[in-house]
Amino acid sequence: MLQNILTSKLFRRPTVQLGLLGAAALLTWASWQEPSLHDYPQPISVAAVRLAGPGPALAAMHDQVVGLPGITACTVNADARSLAFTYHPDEVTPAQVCQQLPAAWHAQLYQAPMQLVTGPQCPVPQGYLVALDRLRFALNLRRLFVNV
Amino acid sequence: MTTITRKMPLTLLLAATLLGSCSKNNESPAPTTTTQTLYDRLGGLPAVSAVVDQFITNVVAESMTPNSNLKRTFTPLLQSGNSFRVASLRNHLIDQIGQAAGGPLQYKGLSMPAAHQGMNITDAEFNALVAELGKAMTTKGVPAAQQTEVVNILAPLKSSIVGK
Repeated sequence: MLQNILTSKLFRRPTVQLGLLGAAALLTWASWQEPSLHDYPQPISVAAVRLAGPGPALAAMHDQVVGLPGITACTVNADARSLAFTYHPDEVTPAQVCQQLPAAWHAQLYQAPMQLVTGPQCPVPQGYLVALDRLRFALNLRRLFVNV
Repeated sequence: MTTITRKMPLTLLLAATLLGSCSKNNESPAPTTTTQTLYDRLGGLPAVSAVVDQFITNVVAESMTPNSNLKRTFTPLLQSGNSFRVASLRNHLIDQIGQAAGGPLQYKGLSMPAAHQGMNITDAEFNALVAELGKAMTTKGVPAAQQTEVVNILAPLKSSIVGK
């Protein structure tokens, strides 16, 4: 089998050999380091909501929100009339979560005011770095030998 | 035969690079003990990531209170377009708690003094953070004894974090 492959015309082509070398280099790069534990779970985002409902009712909201699909954790702060939750972005959006809440609570997504960043910043967009990380994990052969 | 001989170095190179890259890291030998680590007793990665997620929502909710101890440091998590900060915080916490509890993989982030350089974290902020971690573990059903173990592992980091 191996002999057939090695002697085949296809394998003798320089482009095929270069392609194989490139693939090996890519796999080597991706597998050079052990994966990290954080590579395994699905990514999450966080959102916060301001509410205007009665305190006791808000406290009972935790189970309702945490039971929604795509929600991984939820904290209700009745005193601050706020709700924070982490979610899988590809399963649910914060707006969809707000729609599930009773209208009487006037749920409004909260975003903190922006602060001017004065220090040096990474010129590479974070999205590219995250995508590169996920590609490296996908090609990392070591992950097949780690039991998390 | 000649063709095979000529191709052998290339084949060997491919095999060697793949095998070499898959070899186990010498710096992190597999544990040989048969007793369960704290990581295993907590419930492995699903439990660690669940506690970390709960911790993040606790911190965010606390930072929205009027007299918040954590607002100064954690408000950027809720600023528009900062979802990568949340991901980064979560990633580091999962890696660090996972390794500290005896999990299978190593934390590769910055050292604690380097990560908190210039942040001027106060005692009150650190204590508030530990309190939120305790609440998160309680919410996720971590037994008190294991909570104490986690806190005991992380508490010595205080001197590397506060006042840097």
